Amino acid sequence: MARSIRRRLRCLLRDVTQIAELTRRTSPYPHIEGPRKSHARVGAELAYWRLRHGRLPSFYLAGGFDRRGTSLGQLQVRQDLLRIRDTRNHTSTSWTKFNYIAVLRDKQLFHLFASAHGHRVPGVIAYLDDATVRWTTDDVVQPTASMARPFDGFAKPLVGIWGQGAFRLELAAGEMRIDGRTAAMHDLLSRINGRYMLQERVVQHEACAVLHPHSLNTVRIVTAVTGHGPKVIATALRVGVGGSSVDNWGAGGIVAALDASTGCLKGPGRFRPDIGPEVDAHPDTKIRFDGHRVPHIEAAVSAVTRFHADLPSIHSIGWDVAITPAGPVVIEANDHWNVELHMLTDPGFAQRFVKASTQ
Amino acid sequence: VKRLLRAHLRSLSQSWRAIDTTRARLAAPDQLHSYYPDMPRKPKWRITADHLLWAVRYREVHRFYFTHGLDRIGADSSTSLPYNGSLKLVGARNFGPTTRTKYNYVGVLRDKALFGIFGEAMGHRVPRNVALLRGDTLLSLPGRTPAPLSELEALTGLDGFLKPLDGRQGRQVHRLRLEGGELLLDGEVTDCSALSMMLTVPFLLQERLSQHPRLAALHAPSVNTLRLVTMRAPDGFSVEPFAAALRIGAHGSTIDNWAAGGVIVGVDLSAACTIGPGFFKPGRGTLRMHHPDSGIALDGYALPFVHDAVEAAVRFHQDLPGLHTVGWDIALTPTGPVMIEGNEYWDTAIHMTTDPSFVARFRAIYL
Repeated sequence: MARSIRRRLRCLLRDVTQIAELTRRTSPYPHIEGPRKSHARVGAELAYWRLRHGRLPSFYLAGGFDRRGTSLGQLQVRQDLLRIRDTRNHTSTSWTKFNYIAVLRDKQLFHLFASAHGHRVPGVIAYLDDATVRWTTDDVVQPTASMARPFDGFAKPLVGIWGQGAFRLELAAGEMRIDGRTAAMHDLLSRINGRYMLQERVVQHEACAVLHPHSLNTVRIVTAVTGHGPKVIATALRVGVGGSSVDNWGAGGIVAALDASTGCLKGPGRFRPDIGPEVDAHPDTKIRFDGHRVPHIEAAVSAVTRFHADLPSIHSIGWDVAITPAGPVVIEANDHWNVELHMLTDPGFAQRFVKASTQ
Repeated sequence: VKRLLRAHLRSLSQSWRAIDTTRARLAAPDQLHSYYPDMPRKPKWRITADHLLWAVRYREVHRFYFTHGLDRIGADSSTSLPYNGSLKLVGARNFGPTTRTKYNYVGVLRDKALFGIFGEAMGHRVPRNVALLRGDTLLSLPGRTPAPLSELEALTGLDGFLKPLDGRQGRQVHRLRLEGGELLLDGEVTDCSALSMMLTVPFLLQERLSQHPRLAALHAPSVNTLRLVTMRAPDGFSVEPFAAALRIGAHGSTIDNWAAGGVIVGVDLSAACTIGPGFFKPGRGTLRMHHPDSGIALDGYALPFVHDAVEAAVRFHQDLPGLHTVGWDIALTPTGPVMIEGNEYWDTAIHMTTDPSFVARFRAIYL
């Protein structure tokens, strides 16, 4: 009992210190216009949130909630959406605690499941760790240090989210390039931490490549299981920036809302609030987002709803779909999909998701 | 205070329920058959007292009191563990999430179709998945091309097992075969419309394996499997065999599950043979020195490919990160072991019954 009280007091003290620090901190987002709330108001809001939810709001500063004109109600909506997403997705299928989240999280399992069920996913060329590589094409196993087959694609950790640990790998005529830079075998071995797979590079449709050719710009589609099967809740396009090989929002990419009925982008592109402002055109290629047409959207929607029907016990999934000249290819699926991305780009999203979750 | 009070009330209610069930159980004569009738037996009041003490102490009925021979005078009760408690211990480590978010690889074991897909891709020998069936639709595997259920009649040489996709303990498992143009479900003629009525949940149609003649000689109608428990070593990486038993069907049943009336017998992994006697589950029979149908002695019966089976199970377990322990059902075929399924909630009672050293080894790891 005494230990528990001591622990609680320690947590409270830590949070009070953090609140004081956050209240004093100057805004790190010069691009967000408008005056900041008073120190007293910021402190009061943080203290209120801590008392009500038992922890400090992680998205308070990143979401710009320290600016006048924003209210804690909007932050509460985000909290509610996260709660619905996590509680519904991590519900066990039966009395024993198992679910199918591992199929989404483990890229090898995802690839095997998708291939067996006839869904289009990028081909896997090899599985490797820092000791051995197994080429799937002919099942040959060889030491990783002496792998010399030509390859152009991505190396991804089998278990990882938000693009962490993934990198572009090119092997040709004894030369190795990692993320476009010449590298040696020890560079590769130092990057391989755990089990990895080599995934073939997906060539994207010209309409997507034109926005930022260095990254695979994917369509993010969120589907949720309703009483009438999986339904699309939100769609957006993720675009890389500044020559980056990844399009992740958290890694500095831009997101633009996508109208699934027309296949056209709607409104401006948005960086994550703590990274950059709203932009009407891509900062590198200067192509305007609003009205830019993305092909094969209907096929992409159909592909992910069909895929989700094979995983009915997972309530909502955020799909990353590459649009290729031959149609959509599902790159990966996330149970831990980004709620803020759609809250910022699609005003009706929260309402639609809550409605789908109560059906 | 409220939480503490609620926990005490729950515990009291569990004890009361256990005592009540124990009372009902002791009143039913078919539950009181001794597995060792030729040995001196405790008086009835002592047996009743043992049961009630167990119910109060562990808040569960001692279902395997007679199976473990605790009704004998001088029997050592420390060779028995509370059943539900031991299952919870097994499950608790397996259901631990792999990362900070709540997911684990139990689904690969529980979904029989996924088990086949994963096993095959990782180079393990598993039974071939033929199709997924639900209602009047047949989805062929791999590829999941949809077709009407009547396509079953076009599968020449069809002989397999229908299993609910996440079924357990042999429940709702049926043998389905095509013979002389007729569909036979568990040996009885059926048709696709009758079959579709049964397929209210997804079922997997899996090829039937032919077992090694040594296993078929014990009981030919069922595929008699080796139950092998593997466990991750304390280093968290290497995997070792922990316990083994042979499950044998009985009385013409097509399945070998203990809960469905099968016999279990211990297995000596180093000598690759059985260690008798055989045991039925309480309510299904008692102890047997010989198989009830084939009459083969259950002690010292040599089994083929046991060492290969251990190697295959260890290799498969190493491909499933995060899972602490798995109970494998392995068919010993004429060409080697085939992994039929893996269970994250393996039945501790099987090994408590057949392996005298099991409880001490289990305690050393879990308690």
